[in-house]
Amino acid sequence: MRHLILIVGLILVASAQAWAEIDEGIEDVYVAPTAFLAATFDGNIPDPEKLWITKGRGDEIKTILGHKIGVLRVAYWRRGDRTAWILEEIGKVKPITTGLVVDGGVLAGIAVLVYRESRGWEVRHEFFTNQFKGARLTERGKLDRPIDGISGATLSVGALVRLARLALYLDDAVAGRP
Amino acid sequence: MSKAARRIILLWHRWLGLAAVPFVLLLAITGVLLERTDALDLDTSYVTSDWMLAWYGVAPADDPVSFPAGERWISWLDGTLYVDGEPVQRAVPVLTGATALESAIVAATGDALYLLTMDGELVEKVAPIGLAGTIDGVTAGPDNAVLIRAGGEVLISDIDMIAWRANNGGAIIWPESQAAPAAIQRALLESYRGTGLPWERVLLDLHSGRLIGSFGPYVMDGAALILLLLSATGVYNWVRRR
Repeated sequence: MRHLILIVGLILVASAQAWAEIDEGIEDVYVAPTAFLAATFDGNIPDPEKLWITKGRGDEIKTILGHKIGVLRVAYWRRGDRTAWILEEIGKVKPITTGLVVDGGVLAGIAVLVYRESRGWEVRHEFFTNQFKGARLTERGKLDRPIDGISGATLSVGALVRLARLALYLDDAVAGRP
Repeated sequence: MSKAARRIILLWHRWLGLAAVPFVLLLAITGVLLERTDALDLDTSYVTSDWMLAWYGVAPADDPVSFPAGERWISWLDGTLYVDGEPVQRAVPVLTGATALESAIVAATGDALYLLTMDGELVEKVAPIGLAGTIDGVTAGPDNAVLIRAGGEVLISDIDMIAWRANNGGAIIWPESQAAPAAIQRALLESYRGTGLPWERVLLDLHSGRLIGSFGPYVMDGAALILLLLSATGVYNWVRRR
């Protein structure tokens, strides 16, 4: 019987070790939306405006996101040619709140504001987000440059790429660019 | 090898054999069933057992939160916003209020407001900026206005919910959550569960050990190790006795 207890005990110890490695997702606020907007507009945040998602836009956005956007209008902030967007996209199971700045059809900046997934938070770092600076949309609605991924953060990287395309598309819509 | 060592190996062989019994039975039975997935419709038959759905996390961790809003019921269950039991938006924090305006419905969470058409279509998620605290109440004001309570302050805005100002009105009645009618509650649970857990998934997880969590495969690794040791000590005992 002692041998049986020893065998079962060894299995349980190994199991407990593995169990201890499991972690839980929490919400990390890296940049408050107000701070993001204040930084974008030099402390003087304009009133938000609304862009209605018409059927045509909704269809094009579905091509970008791979799913319906789910809302009938989107808020944005604008001064001159610069627009700022606070958009959300689910990486794996939870939305990543992201701030995006577009200047005359060119992505001027992207910042992860709130991250809720348990893995993939590396996308918030500048070594990753800097890749988006200067990106434009191609005629096919893609970014005009490749974005290097991050091992272990594939879904979050994909979400941010989709949001970058979406912000550029929405900025085109606001500016009336075809 | 000494007589004592041979005796120990024989003894371990017996105990390992006993320890392997439940694993061999489990693997054999689930293996045979999985071989016949199509014939037994295991991939299209769904688990309805409450405790098993709960074990998989398919059962909600919290009770639903519902508010009446005009002729609609706005509900939240496990991160999803529902209108009359139909899912509208995923990844939504728990509702803190909901109300019907003259031409729209507004649902509130701690940090955002969800503007819905009277038909329950989501118009927009609005995250008011610069609030004194989290939103813990929402109600309808005059002329399609929205009133919210955040951090002890009461603010008012028009239906666009862009500009908020302090409300200096009188006493305000804030809607409180209520138990939705049984039909709505049933719809919530059914929508939540959907067809989420086929029996094939359960058998696969039993077979691989994942049914008992992410450490289950380690248990099955242990079982595989036992079978390897059993084979080795069995071969040794057979060779020794020839």
